[in-house]
Amino acid sequence: MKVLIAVFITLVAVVHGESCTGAQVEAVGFTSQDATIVTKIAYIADFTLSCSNGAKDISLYAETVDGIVGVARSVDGLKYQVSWVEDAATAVSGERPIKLYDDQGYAALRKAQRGNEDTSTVQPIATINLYHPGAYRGPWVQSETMAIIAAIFVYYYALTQKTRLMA
Amino acid sequence: SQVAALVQCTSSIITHTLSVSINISVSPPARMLSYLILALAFVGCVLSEGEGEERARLLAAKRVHNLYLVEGRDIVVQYSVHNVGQAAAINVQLTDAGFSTEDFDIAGGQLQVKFDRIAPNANVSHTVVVKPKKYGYFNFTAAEVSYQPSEDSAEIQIGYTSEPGEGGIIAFRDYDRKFSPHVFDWLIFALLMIPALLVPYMMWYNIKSKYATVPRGKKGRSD
Repeated sequence: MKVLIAVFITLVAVVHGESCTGAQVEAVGFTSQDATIVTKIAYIADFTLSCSNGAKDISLYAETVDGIVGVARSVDGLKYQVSWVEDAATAVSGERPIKLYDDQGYAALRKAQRGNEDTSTVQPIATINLYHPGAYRGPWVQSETMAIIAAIFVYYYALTQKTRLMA
Repeated sequence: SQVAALVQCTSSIITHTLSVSINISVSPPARMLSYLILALAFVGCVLSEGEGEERARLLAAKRVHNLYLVEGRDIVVQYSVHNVGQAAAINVQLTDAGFSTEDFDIAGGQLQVKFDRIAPNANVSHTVVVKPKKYGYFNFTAAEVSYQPSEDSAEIQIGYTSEPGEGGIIAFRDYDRKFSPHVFDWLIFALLMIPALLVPYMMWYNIKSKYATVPRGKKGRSD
């Protein structure tokens, strides 16, 4: 079920204190693919971050369908996880971009939101693409329906041949 | 910290009282001043107990988003943490020890995570997908949340999420018997029906091919 995600490298021009430059992300994604037993589809991206300026222990924020949220970290601070759930009936398949921001990016984003400016001017430090191949909701046609249709077909053919013979 | 402040207050009051009683022999204006200082210390002490109570308060919920719990298939568990206090919660750690590795495989997500900061009136959500290895009744227990209630507070507050309760994990073969499309079974059935259908068909076809069909004259045409 694990799908390996391509690594995206986005360079950031701001170097200020604890910011991360040249962020490289290695991500492993998981999405629920069986919608017959779950009510909501889970989207999970586990990733590790390495910065070219060696900055460590950076708290990240991600833009997901819930808005801008803080990213969960493992207790040793090395692995991050972005996750959310969507309703199984309305979830669409395809690529879901997740933009990651550090503290400066998050502050700039909040400032842009308060001033009602366009938030896409703030550059994320990295982007993860989470691919959801679509969840299996059951077969298009039930096999019992196919069996009944085949039986009706055979019966109809036999009946027409018989009436043609008898008439 | 509150107990320490209380001790500090009472000790300062006691020293002021002692100094005032020692200064009884001093002139009346100085005595009035010392009484005033004592009163102010007392009032200041009482008032200082009430301030600095801005704390973060976290409410956490754990939900299982499944229609059926099936052995070997996904169970989607979502934890959501809301901060209903006035201060930001620092170093929030969420630990779920309820899914032991001998009974569950983790398909995605981590069971022990931390959030650096949850702002007041903000919430975060965390999702984990596990697959059970065994079937039977399973009690979904609460996960533990620990956090610092404010930035300058050193104490760790521990809380628990809500408990989803007990659920029955169905054995895979029971689920499969009830819900799978059984395409293979239908193909076997078709294969078994073929001799029963083919034999009469061949008999009829052999007889029919010996006779040509006579075209019947159309009604109403007479020559």
